Amino acid sequence: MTQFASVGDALDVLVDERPVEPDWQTILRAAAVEQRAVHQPERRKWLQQRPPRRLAVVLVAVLVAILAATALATGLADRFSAWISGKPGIPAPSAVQQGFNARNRVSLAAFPTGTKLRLLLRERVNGTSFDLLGFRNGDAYCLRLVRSDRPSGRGSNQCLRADELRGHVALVADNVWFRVGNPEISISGIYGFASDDVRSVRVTRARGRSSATVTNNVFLSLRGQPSGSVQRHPKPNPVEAVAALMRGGRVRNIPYVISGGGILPGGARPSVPSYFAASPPRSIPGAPTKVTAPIKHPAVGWILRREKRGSPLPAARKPDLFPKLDFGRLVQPDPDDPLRIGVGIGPAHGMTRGHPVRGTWVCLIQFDSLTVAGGSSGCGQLLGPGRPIALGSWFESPITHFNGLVADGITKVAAFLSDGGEVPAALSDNVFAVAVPQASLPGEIVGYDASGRVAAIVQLQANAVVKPCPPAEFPTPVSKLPPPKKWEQIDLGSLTVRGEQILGKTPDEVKAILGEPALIRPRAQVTSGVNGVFEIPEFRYGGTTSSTLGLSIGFAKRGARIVATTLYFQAPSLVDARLGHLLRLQPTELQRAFARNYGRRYRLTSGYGSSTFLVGQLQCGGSFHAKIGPKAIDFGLNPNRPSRPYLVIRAAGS
Amino acid sequence: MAGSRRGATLDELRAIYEGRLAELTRVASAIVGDATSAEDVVQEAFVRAVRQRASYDGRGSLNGWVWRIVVNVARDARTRGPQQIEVDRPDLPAADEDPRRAVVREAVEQLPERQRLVLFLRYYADLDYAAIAAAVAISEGTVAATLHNAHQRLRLLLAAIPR
Repeated sequence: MTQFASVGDALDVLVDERPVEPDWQTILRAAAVEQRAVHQPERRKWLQQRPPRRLAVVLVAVLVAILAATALATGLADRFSAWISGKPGIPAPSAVQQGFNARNRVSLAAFPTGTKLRLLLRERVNGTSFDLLGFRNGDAYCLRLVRSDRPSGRGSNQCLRADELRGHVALVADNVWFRVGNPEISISGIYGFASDDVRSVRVTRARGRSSATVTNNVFLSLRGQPSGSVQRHPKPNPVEAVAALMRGGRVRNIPYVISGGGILPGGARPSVPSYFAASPPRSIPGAPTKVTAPIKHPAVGWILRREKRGSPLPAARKPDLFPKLDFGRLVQPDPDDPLRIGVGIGPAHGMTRGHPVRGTWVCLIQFDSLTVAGGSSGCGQLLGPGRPIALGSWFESPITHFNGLVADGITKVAAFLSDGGEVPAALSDNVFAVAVPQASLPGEIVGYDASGRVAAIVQLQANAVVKPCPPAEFPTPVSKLPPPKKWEQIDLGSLTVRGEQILGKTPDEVKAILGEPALIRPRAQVTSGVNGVFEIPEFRYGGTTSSTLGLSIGFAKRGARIVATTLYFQAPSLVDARLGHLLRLQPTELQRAFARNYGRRYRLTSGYGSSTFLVGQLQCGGSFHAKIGPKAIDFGLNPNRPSRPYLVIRAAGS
Repeated sequence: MAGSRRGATLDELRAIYEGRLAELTRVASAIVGDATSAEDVVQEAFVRAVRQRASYDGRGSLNGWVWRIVVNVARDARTRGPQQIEVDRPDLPAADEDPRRAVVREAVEQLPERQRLVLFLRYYADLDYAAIAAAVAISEGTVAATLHNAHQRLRLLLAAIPR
């Protein structure tokens, strides 16, 4: 199952489903008034809502006093003493508590009514205040990060049981991203738990490092930067590594998976050009390797009998959420976590590798804490021979929540992790849920029968690992290369091919300049209600496959025209007016030569093998951007095909 | 609702406003990219609808007429920035800070505007083809084709964007 099972599933994360109160009287009033100041009302409101500074000072003073008192009263013997004492921080201000209550009331995965929040930290970033709140929910420790002025927002919520926290000196609970203000500021960062032994948490970003103080056994590190626009956004500055500074003076690395990428070993960027590669399979310490008691006919009786376990599924907001669902229920596997799992079955529909899917599908959808809409969802084959566990969809985050359905006969489920951890899963009505630190993967989900025998094993994928970029390989010496063809003669100064501009040209114009391509490949279709359907082609010169082509020209629709936006070269004979056979240089040499020859027109935006332009991507590539105009040049190599380094000329944003 | 009469009544507009506020806000939020501004967009759209209610000519559904105003106001807001919209709002809850949003937004932003609008109206408002056609001022056939292409393109884009 994929992270987004459907278009609707993906669109679901784009818009927050939140309670909106109709206010018809305001509309009538506004409609009756012709002239009104544009900004004044909001400014007035904002001033009215802003908490008095005096209160903030008092809060800080109280927090400091409580921290000191807690440290004195409980010492460092208990690792989470502020929480174990039962009252970390101070009671949440009433507006914050009421906001939470309002959200909780309408949530599909609510905490028990009467849950009392405690304010653990309040931090102001780029003029916006954030509250880190904490509370116990049964056996679980829960954190909630929310904007102070929007206490009923969904925010970020994370609940972990004691056995999920065990074995860690500090744990990143979540990475967050808020968008505030106008011009918009993106505020991103992390928050989490830290044991009494941790004095502060060091957070290393792609650019810069900061220290987050540990208060009430939690930490919070946020940083803001202008959002920019889609076409011109500033370089992302993701968190890349986290370390705990211990009270004894030692520094302990906290394994952290860069969002969308892998883990930097030891929390440090490699000193040589490197990339994130798939991790080779490895054994999980202490984990079973063999199923000793297979289940012959895996099934879930209560679903097949349509028993009304759990609670009814909320009405599907989107028709493709649970297509043609025959039966569905909502199950809460862990009484200490509001997370609910929707389980449904119905006839399969759709296509897999061009063939229609037949049979029965089981669909699982996760409703996260305080959501008022759906969560990650996916449908797949129902349990059957050899498939006693159906794993639901999940989304990678510092704490990844796995869920799934297990066959009758499986009475216990546990996750085994590569760091040696074993985390028991919550299990109810054949539905399990378990939260594990993403950095601790790979792992296994293991199902046991009532006799404690292994009935099922499901592998959990490993994180990417850092590998040095291989050197480019040049089997044919330059002296034996054929003379450059028409489309292999470029000038990086003017970004022309044989003296002609290609970027911005239509397919016909490109053909007129470079001749008929070896292959025209349809890549996408664009519909315009006025002008009909446009087919967007890809032109390939010098070869027809991705490994043999010499030049690939990508097009995109700009206004009413389809024009060339990217030129991808990997022809060994490619020559530049100043650099000569530039794809016969090692990428680091090419970077230096380009900077030397074209440095007045271009600036290096990411050095070879260290790119952070795409969040989380460490790849064997680099980029230069034009100092004037929206043009860019990428270069590098595919580590799996080091004999064909590439160079891309593109319109920035393409 | 269709007919030969002219003008909409306040009660009719109020019924649409109160009955479909959630969907209207969702769609506006998707268009402008900001939940708080979306509430202002809907409010602004209804202010316009109230002021211009006499101009509703009864040729299409009143729902479609209102949706068109909301879509137009949201498109304007997206172009000129959210703070230019008249603001008079109560304390409202925050936007969802789901980190996957960046990935989806990046993909959605690459869709042509019409595909985006049709997709939003279909998914966030659950409108049928006829209602979408009325809101975007295109034919039902074009709605179907646009939706199909939007689906295909978005799937491709989501698969292509690194997470």
